[in-house]
Amino acid sequence: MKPYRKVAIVGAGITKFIHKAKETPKELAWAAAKMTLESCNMKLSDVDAVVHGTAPDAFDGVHMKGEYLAEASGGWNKPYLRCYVGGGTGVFAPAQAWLHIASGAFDTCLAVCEEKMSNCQPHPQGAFLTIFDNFLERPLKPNLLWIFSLEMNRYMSTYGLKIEDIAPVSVKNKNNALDHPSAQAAEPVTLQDVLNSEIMAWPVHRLMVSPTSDGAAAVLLASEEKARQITDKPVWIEGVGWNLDTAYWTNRDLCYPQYVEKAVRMAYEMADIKEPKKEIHIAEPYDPFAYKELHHMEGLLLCDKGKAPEDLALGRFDRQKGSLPACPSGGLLGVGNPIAAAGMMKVCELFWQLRGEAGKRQVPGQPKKAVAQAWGDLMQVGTVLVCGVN
Amino acid sequence: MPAAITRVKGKIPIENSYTSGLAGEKTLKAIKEHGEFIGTSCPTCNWTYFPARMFCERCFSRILENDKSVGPEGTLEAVSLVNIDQSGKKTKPYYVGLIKLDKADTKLLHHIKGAKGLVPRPGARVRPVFNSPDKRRGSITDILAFELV
Repeated sequence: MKPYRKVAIVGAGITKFIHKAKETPKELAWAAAKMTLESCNMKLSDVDAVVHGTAPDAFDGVHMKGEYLAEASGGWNKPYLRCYVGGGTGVFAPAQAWLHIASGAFDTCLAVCEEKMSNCQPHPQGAFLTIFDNFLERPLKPNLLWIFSLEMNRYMSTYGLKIEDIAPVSVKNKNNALDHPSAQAAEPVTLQDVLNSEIMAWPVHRLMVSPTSDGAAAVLLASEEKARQITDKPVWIEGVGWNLDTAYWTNRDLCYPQYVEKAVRMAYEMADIKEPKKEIHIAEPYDPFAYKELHHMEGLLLCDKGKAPEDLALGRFDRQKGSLPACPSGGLLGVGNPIAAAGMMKVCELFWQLRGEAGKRQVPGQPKKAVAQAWGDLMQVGTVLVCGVN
Repeated sequence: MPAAITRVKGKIPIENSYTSGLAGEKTLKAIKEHGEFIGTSCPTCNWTYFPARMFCERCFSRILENDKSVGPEGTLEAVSLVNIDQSGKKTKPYYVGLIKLDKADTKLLHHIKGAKGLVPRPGARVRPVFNSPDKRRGSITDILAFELV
């Protein structure tokens, strides 16, 4: 895919991620959208089009949730699109906003993601139960953890990994998140804490799982010409990619996320990145579970297959000293996981990191290129954004 | 052939618990405690929302703190006589309508009470009939209906 013209992120905003927000979904979405416009001194009337990303309607408990959230996302009387690829939505939404502008259709586009999982009772798990095949799987009474425990096990057995090789992801991310003002699950945990936490479905331990959250996050995108008028520090979207594997999740080889590789190859090609291991300075891989960060670092072609745990152990992903910091935000494990908003949080992080505005979380050495990725649907989609500054 | 081979029953086992939000709580509390209609108003757009909103959808300003008392009377904008219930069964006919409360720019959906020999029509003036204070629970149904003035 060849973009027609360059597109930049010019503003970003995020609410706190919390367990039970008193605000309505609309109030959350508006807060993030408003903050985004204020971050770059733009008004709602400066926005040409709006893209909204939100995961299953069941979470907020509102059918046609895209329509419900339209005016709260700035979409009143504007061209408006709601997009949805499950957990992958948070990175898919800015990619769709990018299309709005790269195509030449619009000069500015606000991308807003929101999720309010606490509306869902007794647990959002209830919504997930029906993703399974009605004849082959639902009679077995599966829950979502089955997939993740089996996938983690497959990853471990393929490469001879131990739980101790994977658990440090939780330690890194939950500690990184201590410096994120929106964080819900930041904790100064140790490896021992993670290993001692409850085993939910072996080998997945409680502290290797991101929490359910309420929250919203947003970015404003602009064409090159507009972006240069709005800010001195545009963060260019240099590549986008997305890809879906089969919904028959049992038939994929769970040791490797092929769909992420296909998505990121699309994005790297657009961004003219030939050696991602050297050219990418920061990664925000999707980390709803500890092993997924490692899995995704491999899928993003940033680590050799099966070697991400070794890189992790060698400190390559450390925020201060590592050569390729992963999840400097604190990730879903630390900041929280309001599904679509969590992916967007990663895009916001790239924006702040590449502008040198990430505060205590700032990756040293003036990073120039970064990648954010999300994952979802029936664990089959990879969505990717590559960003850069000159 | 046993039915179970061709068909299985299933449901999505969730319930929802909705918050009224920072703005919604303000409106429901005023109805419950004072039988009053409190909306919020946007000075930039000169537009008043009822129920209260946290933000103006037109200009995105925060308006949560900009309370405005509206109604209690209003004008009927549209009306229908309903003959079936939610499940499609025949029911005793009742009126529903859209009410533009005085000083508000938005419309409210509610039940309309007819009166002897009077049929509610668009343009008619209406006023709220509240449940007794001890029975109100902070719900839109604390207003039993709107009746013709």
